[in-house]
Amino acid sequence: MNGKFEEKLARLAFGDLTPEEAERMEGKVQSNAKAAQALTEFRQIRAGLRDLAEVPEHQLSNERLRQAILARGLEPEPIKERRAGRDFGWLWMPVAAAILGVAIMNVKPRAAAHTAEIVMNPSLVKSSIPSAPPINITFKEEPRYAMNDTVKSAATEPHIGPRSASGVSRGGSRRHIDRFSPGTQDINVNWNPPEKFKLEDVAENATPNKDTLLTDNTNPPIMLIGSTPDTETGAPTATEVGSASHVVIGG
Amino acid sequence: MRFDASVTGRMELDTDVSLVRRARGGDYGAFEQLFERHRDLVYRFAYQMTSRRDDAEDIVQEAFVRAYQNLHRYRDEAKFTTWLLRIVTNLCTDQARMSQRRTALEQQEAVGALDWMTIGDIDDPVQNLEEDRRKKALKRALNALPDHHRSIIILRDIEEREYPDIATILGCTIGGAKLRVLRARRALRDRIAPLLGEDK
Repeated sequence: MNGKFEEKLARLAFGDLTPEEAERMEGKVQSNAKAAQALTEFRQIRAGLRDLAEVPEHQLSNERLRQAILARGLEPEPIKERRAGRDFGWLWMPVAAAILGVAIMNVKPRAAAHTAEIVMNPSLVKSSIPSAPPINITFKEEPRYAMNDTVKSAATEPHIGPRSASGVSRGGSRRHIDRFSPGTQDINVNWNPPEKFKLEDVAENATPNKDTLLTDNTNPPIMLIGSTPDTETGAPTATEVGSASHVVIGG
Repeated sequence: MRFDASVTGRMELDTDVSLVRRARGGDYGAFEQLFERHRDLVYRFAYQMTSRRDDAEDIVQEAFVRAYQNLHRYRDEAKFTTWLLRIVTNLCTDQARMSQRRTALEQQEAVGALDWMTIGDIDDPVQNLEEDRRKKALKRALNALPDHHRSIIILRDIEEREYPDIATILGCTIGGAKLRVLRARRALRDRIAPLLGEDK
């Protein structure tokens, strides 16, 4: 007995077939013992389910329902009638988009203006920090480090040993290190710095000096255009400065 | 107490609709009339779903409270009872989810509740016992069904609702409702057979 036939048996037992279909099915069932048994089972189920419709009496009352409704403070909500032509629900979207766009365009430049202060006149930004005293560094004794002959020759010796494709050698570099390890070689370094690297000069050049900076003509000058016009000519004032360290450029 | 499905006619539908309109307008008496008219139907369905009288009564009360609160959502093209049963079906499903742990106890009570119905139906004691055994098995099988199968069986085979009503209550097509009924019946038969074998 296949599923479809069983379904038809159930429909027959529960009265869901037309009279013609029911008659046809009854004929088929009579010649099939298994189908007859299934039909009997379905009919018994149907009868049993009908009997289950009997239920014990309830104790529901109008008062109970009224109390439940009053306890929640409920009232039936009125129906919201939609009136044609007065429904502007769609309008809020383009209006909101326009307002948002205007707000963004107004807020963005203001936010950028507060990030840096533009100073048009350099005279207003004179630094209050006193200039540092010049630092003079001198060596009491000249350093006495000089390479001996062994080291000199090793330094000029071409590299020995195989190199990998990446330029890093393994065995060769180990041999190289062994040769120059401090335990095996006595290195005597005696180095005299050349004249142009003397520390006094370096320190003197490194000393911050505002006067020097402002009057130094070796660097190209920086011109600042003032915001106030010249009283005689009416043209904007221009000031030449040697350094831009106190000037904020931007805007 | 038994529900007669044939009572629901066009006239009653009109009356229900007019009562709903009056209730919407603030006439609580009209809503009480609706309650009196349909509480038995709702209670019977709820009892079949829960197998407990107190639970069924709570569900009926909650269903009517929700109906009162949502009267503005009721569309006049559907029957009021269909709309009401849809609310009850959802409530029963929620209640079943909450009380899954009590399943064993419910089944026990359901078997007990059947006793008062079966005693004295048939004069022959042997036949009476056999009928009693069959009913108990059927009730157990029905309670053991998943909620979606059980509600279908109750609506169609116990309450004898028409397929269009069932389709509206379940929110499906009429064909879909028929298919669900067939599946539920087959599931019930599959469950009842071993129960009858156990008892023997």
